Amino acid sequence: MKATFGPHVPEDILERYALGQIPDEDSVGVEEHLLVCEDCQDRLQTTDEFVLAMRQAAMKMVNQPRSRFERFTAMLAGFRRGWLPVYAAGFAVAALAVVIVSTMRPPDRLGEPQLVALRSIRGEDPAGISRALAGKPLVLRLDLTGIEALDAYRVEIVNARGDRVWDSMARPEGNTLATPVGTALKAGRHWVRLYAQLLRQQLLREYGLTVE
Amino acid sequence: MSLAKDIPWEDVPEADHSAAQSAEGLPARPASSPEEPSGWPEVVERIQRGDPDGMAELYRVFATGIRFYLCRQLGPQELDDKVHDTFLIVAQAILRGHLREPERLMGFVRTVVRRQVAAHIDQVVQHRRENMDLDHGARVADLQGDPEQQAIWRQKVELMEEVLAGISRRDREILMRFYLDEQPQEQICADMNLSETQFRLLKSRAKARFGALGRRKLAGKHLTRISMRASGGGAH
Repeated sequence: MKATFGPHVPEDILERYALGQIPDEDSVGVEEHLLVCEDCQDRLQTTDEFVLAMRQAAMKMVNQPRSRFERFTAMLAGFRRGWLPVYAAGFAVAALAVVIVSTMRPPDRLGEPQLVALRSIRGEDPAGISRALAGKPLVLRLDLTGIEALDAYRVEIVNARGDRVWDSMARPEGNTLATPVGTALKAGRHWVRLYAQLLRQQLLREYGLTVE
Repeated sequence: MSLAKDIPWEDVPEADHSAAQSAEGLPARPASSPEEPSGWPEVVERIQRGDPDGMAELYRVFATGIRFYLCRQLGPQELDDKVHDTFLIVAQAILRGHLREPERLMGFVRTVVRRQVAAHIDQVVQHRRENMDLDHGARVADLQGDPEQQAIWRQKVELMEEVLAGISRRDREILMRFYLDEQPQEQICADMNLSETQFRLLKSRAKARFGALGRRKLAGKHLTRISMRASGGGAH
């Protein structure tokens, strides 16, 4: 007989949990229920499989080169829907705005993302820890040398306590993986973890990051 | 690889009491209820009295969940050992009276399991740092499975490709935005002029289609459940 306790986890919450979109501090209720409810364990298992299969299938489709005919029909469809003139007008306005702003004042770098190159660390060598500024947009560039080549990886940032503060999927370009971080990091030691499996099950490498 | 010794169990709190209710829309922490075996305090008390049934009940309730959580996070390698270590930490803490709030047993178990996962990852990372030149390609856990499991998984991905190929380009884009690009539901609905209901319907239809195809073509074959549940009953 299966053990079940209390109300089951709603489907959308379970999916968000499977996708890693529920912050650690908010996952208490879900995880405690999952510890004792086999029905919800089964549902999460099914959801995990669905999400992973969806991602792999979608990635294969994205990576398939489109034929010229498909590109042509897509362009025609866009034109028929009237989006092409809208895009053109949008580009013209944006270009004009850029010209005006650039001639009026020097570039303001406060909001620009900082590019941080990460190297995998050896031992506790502090020289191997990359640094970034707290509260600023961040783009991480990870060196993938020596790591199995995959279509996509999952990147996770955890704080010094090991709590996940952000994660996302990213696709590599050659030996490098560049990914914008969707949250501003607080000051302190962080670890950037690179996973092979899209569901964070195969840790490939960890990089140190000090946010100041 | 035993992790039990790495975590001082007396330092494990019964979980953060403020966290459960903080997330909007998330279910509150399950409270003790008549459905529970006999209530956590009673289970704890029986274990402390040395009643073997208390220990058996603790294991019966938590073993599957602990196994599930550890397998999901770390993979099936040495799963029995990890479950055993976790259970040992929980049992020892109870026996020694370190569980200060017996009604929070579930939160305590969750905290122990999470620390076990963190400790395992730390160990592997440390090992990797120390042996970097030797094992570039090694992994924390090899979840590729045996050839049969790999073949089943390939079939599942093909089924999903079939599902994606069988829907309109617009629906495909919606699903890809959500699952592949991880765009928030609100943004997708706004961009694609969708109501929340339409969005949910599309997802549930895709799931239903995937499930139906899977049942038809992969009847009786369960991939990772094999590793998560197979040895669950015989570990202790």
